[in-house]
Amino acid sequence: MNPYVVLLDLGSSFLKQFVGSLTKSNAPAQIIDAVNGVVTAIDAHKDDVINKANLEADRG
Amino acid sequence: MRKLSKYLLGIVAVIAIVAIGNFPAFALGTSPMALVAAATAAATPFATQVKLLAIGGSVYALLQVVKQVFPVAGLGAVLVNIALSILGVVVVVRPEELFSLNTLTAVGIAAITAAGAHGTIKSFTSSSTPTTNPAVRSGVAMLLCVALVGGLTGCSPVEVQAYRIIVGAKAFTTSIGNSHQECGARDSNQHWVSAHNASEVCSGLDKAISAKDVMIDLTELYCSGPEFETGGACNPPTDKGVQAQLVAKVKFAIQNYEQTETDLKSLLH
Repeated sequence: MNPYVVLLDLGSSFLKQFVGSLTKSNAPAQIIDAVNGVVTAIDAHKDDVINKANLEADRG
Repeated sequence: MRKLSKYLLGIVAVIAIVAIGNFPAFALGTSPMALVAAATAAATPFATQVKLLAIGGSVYALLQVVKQVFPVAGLGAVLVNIALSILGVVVVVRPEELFSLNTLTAVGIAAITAAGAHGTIKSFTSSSTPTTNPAVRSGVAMLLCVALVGGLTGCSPVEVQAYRIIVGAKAFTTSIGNSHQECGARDSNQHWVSAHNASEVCSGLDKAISAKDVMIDLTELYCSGPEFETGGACNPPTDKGVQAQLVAKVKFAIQNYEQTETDLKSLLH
């Protein structure tokens, strides 16, 4: 199962804690930025209605 | 005070068993912080640790159910705990690591986690809940089983899981695309226009974006019903057979995308 979704199910504070720990690690900056973006996006869209418009917005 | 000493003893035991398991790495000069950093930066961060927690929790829940059916207590309960922990760990370790110190450590951690959960919950319930009431104990055990199985397999409907991963995938591929402008650019609609660069990173990024779009296609197929097609919310199939087939396809698309993301991350290290 996707780790971000598991952490989100446990609570968004877990996601933020995960990003905090990643930031302190030696992971490449572009991966840290990308994971930050993933966490922010999932958290921001967690209550979206799943309709065609929302799905199509993520195409491409 | 007794409760506090139990917690401290449990924490010390876990630290000791983790330290013993990692002793070869420490002996080779690896610092504990480096091991934590490596686990954090892995393609699937803390995957082993999450699996061990899941095994420990599952063993605890199964043990509670076993105790309702068979009169298992004392040494018998410890042996069942260890047997279940071994089974749980054997499922997740790689075949070549089966007979290794890492596997032994993982079994130890899973068994101690299950025992620790049992002791902690018992210490809380002993003062307020009559533990001799079999109906209450049975109910608590079944509730824990449902919670664990639900938590581990994902309670969210498949379209919700897929949508969250699609949203994350869009953010991930957008971020990597911005860092690698030689791979392509986004048009005014934020759609990716590939430069068809043959480099590994660009090729990996194109594959990840394609895999994300396949997830969107299959999620739309899964949701396609009268309301969904006219702008409404997801309409999952009502026919159980069709639903099962489409769920399998969506899950396969999710796995496929996750593989492309993992591959891309490994190229960025």
